[in-house]
Amino acid sequence: MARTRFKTLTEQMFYILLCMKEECRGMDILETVRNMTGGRVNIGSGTLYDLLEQFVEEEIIAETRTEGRRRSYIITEKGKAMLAGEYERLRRQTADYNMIFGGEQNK
Amino acid sequence: MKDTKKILWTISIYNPTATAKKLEALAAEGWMFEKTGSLFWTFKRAEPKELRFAVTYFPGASDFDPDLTEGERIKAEYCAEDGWTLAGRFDIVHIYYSENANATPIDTEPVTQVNTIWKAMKKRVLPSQLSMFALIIFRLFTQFSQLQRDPVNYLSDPFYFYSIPMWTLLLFTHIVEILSCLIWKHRAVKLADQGIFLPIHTSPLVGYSLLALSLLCMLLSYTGISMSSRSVGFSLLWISVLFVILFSGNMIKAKMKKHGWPREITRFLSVTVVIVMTLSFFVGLMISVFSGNLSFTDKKEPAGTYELYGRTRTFYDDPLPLCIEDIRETTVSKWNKEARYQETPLISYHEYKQNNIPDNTTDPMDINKDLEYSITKVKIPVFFDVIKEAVLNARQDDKKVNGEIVFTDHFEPIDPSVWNADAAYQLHWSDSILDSYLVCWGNRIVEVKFYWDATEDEICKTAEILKGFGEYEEAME
Repeated sequence: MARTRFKTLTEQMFYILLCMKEECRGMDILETVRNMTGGRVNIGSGTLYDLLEQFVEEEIIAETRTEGRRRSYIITEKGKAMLAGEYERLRRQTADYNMIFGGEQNK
Repeated sequence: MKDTKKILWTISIYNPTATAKKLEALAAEGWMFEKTGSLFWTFKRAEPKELRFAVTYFPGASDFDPDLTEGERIKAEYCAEDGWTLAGRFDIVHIYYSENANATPIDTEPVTQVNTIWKAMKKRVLPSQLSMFALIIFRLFTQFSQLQRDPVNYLSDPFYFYSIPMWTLLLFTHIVEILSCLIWKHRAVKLADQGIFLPIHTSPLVGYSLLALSLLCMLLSYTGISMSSRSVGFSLLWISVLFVILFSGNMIKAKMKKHGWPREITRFLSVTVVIVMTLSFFVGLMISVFSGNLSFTDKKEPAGTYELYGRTRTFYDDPLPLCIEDIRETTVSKWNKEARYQETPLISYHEYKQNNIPDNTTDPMDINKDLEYSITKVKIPVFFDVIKEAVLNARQDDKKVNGEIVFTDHFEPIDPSVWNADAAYQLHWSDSILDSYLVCWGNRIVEVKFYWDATEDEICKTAEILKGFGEYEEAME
């Protein structure tokens, strides 16, 4: 794929990983992200399932518990590093924006 | 009033947007989706409702699964959490609906969606398409080799003549499928990076049409052998057997799924049944054909039998346009006269032979003085030269001597005036000149083989009769 898999995170990937700082049930992520973003980011249930599968496969998150079909996950060190990398990319993007438009905004 | 209806499904299952829209429109008309199928989808009558449909993919699923896998159940639960109900599944395709007009779509991330669809395609579509593609290429290669070896027989025999278009159309069907997958993937990945999901826009109608055309060619190749009740019957039998085999495989699959057999066993047994039934049919067919119990054409009744070297042989008395008695004196009174005819829209081919059946009254000098000839009529003039060249070359048996190709058996031009023809050739073999001729009259190519040294007078009579026969046939048409 043109986008090297998970080299950059989409907004939905970013928020799913963010939810997993602490152990989190897959099912709860949809609601958590909605609340966290004030409804700005809506993750589809199919997308969530597919991403969780892919994240586990790539060891970005780890499965911690299975109760029936309810599974819980937590972010791994690899996942944290990816999240940090994405944060750094977004921070630089913000800094660049501020460098160009920051002065105008302060006026 | 019927409570269910089946609709020929012409939307690609890889186009989730169009599929969902169509299902929504039908639900609004009072036809609720019930189940998918290979060609037809089933709908049941229901109260007209404004529903939202979503089509999503589960690459890990299999059509041989007895029920939803654990992963599919988890996904279904996530979807249910958002108000989506699983309406049906077909292989790797899941169809959901929701009564909530504002429900969050099931797939919201184009990158993930494209990735999932591509995974499903790689697992389901491409391996079968590519293996069929390889098989078709092999079949086309063998067909072209046969065409090159014996062009007239190939092009005049409907069984072979329609094979090349049939396999070519099948090849296009698979090329269309494979290319549309690859092109879609290339474009969809780029657009997904920009947050846009690109559905596949190809319609299965293209594939169905090509498939229907190739089936038509197959039917023509069987029925065209002769439009006899026997060959038409054989075509119908072959198509029925195909359906019975596929139906049996599907029935076994359905029964095993119903009884909860594991995916691997169901797949193994269903596929094995289809393979065994297909092989049994072909083995039975070959045994019947070789044992003489089954023929694709109406069996010709022999005119009688005679004894030769202690064995009973049959002989025929087919009408021939030219007989040995027409061109020379003979003491033979009993003949085997055989005519064979085959025709396609490009070529008609008549083959005749007259062999003597010696008895006590036959002069020993007349024994084995037989006659064989064939008349090839090229119906489309533009192909005449190509076919004539192919007939001339077909006779050119060659061998390599010190790295050089030497023709041991070939036609050389002769004066056509004796034959009153446009062109005439005589067969040479090594240093000998044989009594075999190739003569062209208009759009007809005639090969004559005398089993004796034919005199100029006999050749003139032969030419007169065969040319006249051709002209008579033309006039009758």
